[in-house]
Amino acid sequence: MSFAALVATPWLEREGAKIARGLRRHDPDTLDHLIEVYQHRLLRYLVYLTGNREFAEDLFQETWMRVLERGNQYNGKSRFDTWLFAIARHLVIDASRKKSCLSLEALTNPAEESNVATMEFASAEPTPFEHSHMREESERVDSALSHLDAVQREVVMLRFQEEMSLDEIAEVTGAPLSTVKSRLYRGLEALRPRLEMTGKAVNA
Amino acid sequence: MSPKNIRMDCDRALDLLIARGLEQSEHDSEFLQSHVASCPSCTEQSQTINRAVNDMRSSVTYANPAMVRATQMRVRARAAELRAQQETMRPLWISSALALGWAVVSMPLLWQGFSWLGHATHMPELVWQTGFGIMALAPITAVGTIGLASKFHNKATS
Repeated sequence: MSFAALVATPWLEREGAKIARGLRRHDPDTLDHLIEVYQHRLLRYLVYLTGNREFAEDLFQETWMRVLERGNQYNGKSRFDTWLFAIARHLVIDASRKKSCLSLEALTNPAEESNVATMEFASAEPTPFEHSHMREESERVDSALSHLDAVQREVVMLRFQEEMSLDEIAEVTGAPLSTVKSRLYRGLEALRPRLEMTGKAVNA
Repeated sequence: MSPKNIRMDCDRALDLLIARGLEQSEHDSEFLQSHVASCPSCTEQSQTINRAVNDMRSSVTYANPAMVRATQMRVRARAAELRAQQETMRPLWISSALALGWAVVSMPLLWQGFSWLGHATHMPELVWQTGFGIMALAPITAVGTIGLASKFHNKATS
């Protein structure tokens, strides 16, 4: 185990235990803090998973309500973000089932996903040029990712954007490790020509 | 190197590539570096992953502050409700614990009392034992019923 891991593990455990205590007490300050910390990551995950920003925002609220209601189920031993993302994922599946025309697979429909590109940016700091560049980059990546199956997009995003380990991804998705790996391989395989194509278009 | 060995090396390299950024032994890192340098297919795979990672990290999604505030307010309001429910349940839990404690302490005495009464009045054993059972289970049944009723009531009102 590296020095960084040696230092980080007890800290993560302490942090997890603190969050678990706060959730058991329905402590509003703990919840406020968690919403602040995980707002962008959770929304990004939901947007990638559903392919629809508006739907993702509805589910964002519902996810936090469920975190509050089921807070006593978080034991504080695992990472909070994997637990949070697993809750969000279940909500997406439930909500998709309720909207009978939608399913996780159906949400990969490119027409549906055109909304993904419409993302908001922080009002502070970036210059108009940076802003425009960031938006272009964002749209390019989203466009490439939108051609993946929802399940592949999810694992690619969790691995490379959220930097989760394969075990953690398996925990979030409830899939065996081998399935997570094969989804990742297939996702990267499908992503390769898209990124090359869009990269060339941008550089041209 | 046989094609089978090359394939195995490529599989191992791909495993290591998809685990990039996570903890890897020095041995694995060295293997990956040397394999990627000598294998065109894995070089390409490595470039795809680097590109995907760089692109994804440059892509930003920000939550709308108004939506976040609205979520916080909604969560706060519900948290207050849940805490209030917990508060109303507290006396019930305390009385349940007391009833249980009292039951444990009084059970042998109650048994002896019923046994004495049964023998004194020449009652059949089954009768006084049934009486004991009803008497012993009455408090816990009452508390359980109140608890369940209050739970359903809370659910219905929330």
